[in-house]
Amino acid sequence: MTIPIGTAARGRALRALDYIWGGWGAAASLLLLVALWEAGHAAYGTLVLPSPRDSFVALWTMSAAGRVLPAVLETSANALGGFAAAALIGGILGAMAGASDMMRRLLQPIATLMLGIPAIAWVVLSLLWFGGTGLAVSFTVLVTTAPIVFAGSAQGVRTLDGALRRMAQAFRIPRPALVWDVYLPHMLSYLFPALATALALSWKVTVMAELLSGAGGIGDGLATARVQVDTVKAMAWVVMVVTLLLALEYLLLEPIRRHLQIWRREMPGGPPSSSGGF
Amino acid sequence: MSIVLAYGFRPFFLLLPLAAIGAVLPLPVLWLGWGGGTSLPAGLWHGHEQIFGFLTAALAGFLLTALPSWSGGPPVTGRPLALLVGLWLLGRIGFWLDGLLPPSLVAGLDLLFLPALLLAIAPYRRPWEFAAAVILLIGANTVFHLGRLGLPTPPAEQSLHAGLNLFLILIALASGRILPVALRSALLETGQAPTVRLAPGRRHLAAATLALFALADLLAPDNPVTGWIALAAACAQADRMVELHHGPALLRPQVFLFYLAQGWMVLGLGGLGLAILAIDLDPIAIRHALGLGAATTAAVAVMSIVALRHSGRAFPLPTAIWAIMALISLAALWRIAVALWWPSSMALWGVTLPSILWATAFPLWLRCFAPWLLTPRADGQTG
Repeated sequence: MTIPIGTAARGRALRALDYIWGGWGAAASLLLLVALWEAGHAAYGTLVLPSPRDSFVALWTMSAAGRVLPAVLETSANALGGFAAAALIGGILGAMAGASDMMRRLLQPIATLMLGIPAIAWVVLSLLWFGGTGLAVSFTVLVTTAPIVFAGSAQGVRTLDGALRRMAQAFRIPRPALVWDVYLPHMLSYLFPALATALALSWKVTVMAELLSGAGGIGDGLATARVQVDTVKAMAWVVMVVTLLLALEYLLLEPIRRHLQIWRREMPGGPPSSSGGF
Repeated sequence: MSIVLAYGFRPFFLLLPLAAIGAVLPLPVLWLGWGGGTSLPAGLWHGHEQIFGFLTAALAGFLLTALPSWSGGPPVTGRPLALLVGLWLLGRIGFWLDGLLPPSLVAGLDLLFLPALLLAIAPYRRPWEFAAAVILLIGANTVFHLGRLGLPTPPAEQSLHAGLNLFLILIALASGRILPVALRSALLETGQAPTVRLAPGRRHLAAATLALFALADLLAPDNPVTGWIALAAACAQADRMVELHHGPALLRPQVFLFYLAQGWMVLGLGGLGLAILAIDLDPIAIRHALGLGAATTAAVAVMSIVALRHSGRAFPLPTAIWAIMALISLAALWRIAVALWWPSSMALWGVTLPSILWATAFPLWLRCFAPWLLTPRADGQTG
């Protein structure tokens, strides 16, 4: 059988279509959860669990009143700011710890200690240090997620294949190419899962910190809903957070994960690439 | 022994167009308010005939052919097969003469066939799901008739909805077994490698959500929980359509029929969910997407592929299958669209026109396939 020209591009396009189509399967699962939610509403009433439709309508009304988008942007800014700082600091310190045994001995216990401090304690401390501002929120995100990135980065650097590096040097591979084609792909297979975990966590920590600090954003909306004992609005905000998280996971992280794992899919004798979907 | 009685699919597929046409023939008259010999409302009479007459015959022909060939057991042929066909036909004649015959006699005649079918397929122990579905169909039909005889039962529509939902589950189950064959042949026809790997999880999810929907639709019709489950089932059916995305192979009729049936199922389940939750849609019209759209298209797919393969022939299917497919989908489209958007012109455009399209599709099917059903296998084998 002849292989037509452009097979690779076609294959990519088909894989992308398969992936997008896989959204239906995810939607089926989520809609069943909504059915369970509706049953819970029927059993316990609006005060405990508002109906899904009321929550969606409330979210819609709040969006139309222009209250959701600013909150989402503020929360995203807080979360991404903290996450970016954590990725940078955790990544660099982790790489140092991976490359040097001394640095590892120095930094590893500190990272372990930081991981052990509950996020809620950090919220309290950063509120005392920075007051109820976005900075307090971003700082909380930074200190809770940096140790995760640190661990991934350290592991990635520590397990670099020395033989591969020596071979690259023997062939006089230019340094940028060495970093780009040898170090980076290997590092990413450790670093990316850590980054993905950190990013998802940063959103949750942000909402929590916002709720306690009153620093605006989605958390503030939740706090207001709590004060007003407005379960419908609270649920609407929860729906918004969940939507953000799902969008992040399925539109950003999962496609990257798939892209990074091409080598797994295209190994000779491996399963064909048609097992797409979420 | 006549060749017609040599295998289960032959007599049932030959006679089933009779039931299909019989089930719509009186509708225009009834809609225009002229007739009305029967004590059943026209919609119920029609729904019962489509589900327990037409679709049941398709199921019988399929089961009596597929189960023996999967399990390797001896098929039901000759006199026992003739008896089964006779019982099915008695039930239909009873319904055609409804109004002249007393309801208890109509019920008695109609309730004979499915238990007999169950007895006939009982020796094939596997796969058991089909026998279980037949038992549930017997239950639905019995409740329908008991209600008509004046016993306190759930509304008759609910028995019909349960029956139709059971057929949707049956289609999900059966297509899991037929699809690999159809897909492989289509891949070969279009010059692709005939490797078919279908993830079982996907079709199990589709069947499980359908079963959940059937249960919810029975226990709490019009409840919002049922609405969400209907939407979930619609998504799970849509998810399954990716199995058929194989480039040009999708456009071979043996594959496209299943794709179309799946699409109608998505529309029907999604529409029902929206009708319960949010939008004011006529649920009877939406159910036609499931019965007239999905179930009929799938039945035609199964009938055509079974008739082809078990008469010892190879793909492709006759080209006329496209016309049959189009007639049925047009009929469904018309029935639904007119009911939703022009309810005032229902009698002519929403009932009569789809009935004519429908009543054209099945003679056309017979014209293509009857010669195969009436002659010995092309490859000289028995059956």
